[in-house]
Amino acid sequence: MRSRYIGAIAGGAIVLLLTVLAAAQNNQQNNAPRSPWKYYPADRSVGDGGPAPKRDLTGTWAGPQSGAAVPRSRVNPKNPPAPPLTPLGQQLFDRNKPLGKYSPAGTNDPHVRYCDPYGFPQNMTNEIRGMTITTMPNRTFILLQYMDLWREIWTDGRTLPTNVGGRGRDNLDPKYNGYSVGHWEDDYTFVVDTTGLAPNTWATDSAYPHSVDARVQERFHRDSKNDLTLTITMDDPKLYTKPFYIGDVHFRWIPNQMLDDFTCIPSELQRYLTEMGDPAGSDPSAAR
Amino acid sequence: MRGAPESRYYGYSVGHWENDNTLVIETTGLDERAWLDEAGHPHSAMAHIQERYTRTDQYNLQLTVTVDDAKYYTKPWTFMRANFYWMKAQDFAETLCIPSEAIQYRDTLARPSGIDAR
Repeated sequence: MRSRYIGAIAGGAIVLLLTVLAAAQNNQQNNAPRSPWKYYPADRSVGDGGPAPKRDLTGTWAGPQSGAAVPRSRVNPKNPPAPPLTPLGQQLFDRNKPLGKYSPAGTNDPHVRYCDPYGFPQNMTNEIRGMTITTMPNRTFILLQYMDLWREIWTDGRTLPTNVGGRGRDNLDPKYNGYSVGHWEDDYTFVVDTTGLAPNTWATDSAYPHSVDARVQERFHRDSKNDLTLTITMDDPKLYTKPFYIGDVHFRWIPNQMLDDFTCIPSELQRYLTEMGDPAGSDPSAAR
Repeated sequence: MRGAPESRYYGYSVGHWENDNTLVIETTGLDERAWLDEAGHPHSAMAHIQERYTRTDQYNLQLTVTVDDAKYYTKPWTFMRANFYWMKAQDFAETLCIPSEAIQYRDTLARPSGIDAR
């Protein structure tokens, strides 16, 4: 089991060393016997693999942080250019302190401080090493490798709920992953609409907020057998003056369909913060 | 072991249908930091866990879990038996452990004096 904060402790200074080691390891991997239980970043699909199967995303896909040289995003969904914020949106955005602008001791990113779930849509754009998509007759599931969580997308024709988080006996609670419905727009494009998001999460790594009522649309386009492209747009009139194109994420088919385990372990994170990231112990209330 | 996969929280699993109604799953390679249960029973990375899911009828599913872990237990033992019932709406509430809430609970209610139990 690997965790994000083992890497965080090591820091960016060893990236170059790791690159060299990875190259050496890849050479070793080419000659070593393969375990069907391991993910080999150097074992990559070749070319596009031919035409995409129709209405089929099923399988395990390598994402941008898989080490498998997946094509880069045109618009980086971790830090996209946002449309103008409304006064409320600006107020919420100003309250957030993302890592990068702030140190590990100064950020109030709930994931960086506590391993709290990213929530949707950030969990489709951050720490994306890989995912598995599987389908039932009335649902599609997206199984995200990071944090070992799944999203449930209903495909039985139901409509999205309204007034999530409102008052009344039959109203629904907001969810970290929201409420999702999906449909095939054509034989290669699966469209997912989501609302009812837990408002304490951030839409992007760069700390752009979202409201419970945000409407997020994902378009999964299978370009070929080996290529899948996701684009994400968020419409949240409470916080933004026009729809927010969050960006694109590319995926490549993994030949042996295996992924490594990788997650954020709260106890390791707290140890890291105590020993290195925030030894003075910043005010927890300022960090939430 | 060199070249072997790393242990992980959910281990490595294979499954097969033993008969028309029983799916058998075998798992090993579990991360030793996790406990088997709330009582604190340990397991090793070499533990062998067998789950047997038997669908007894349209709406009922029975599960039996057996643990075989020679490092910590003298013989295989039945870890749990559970029954599951088909959910009519096929939907349930999101239930996640939120670490910041757990820490807040620990610091304000469970251990307000800050004494470490370790």
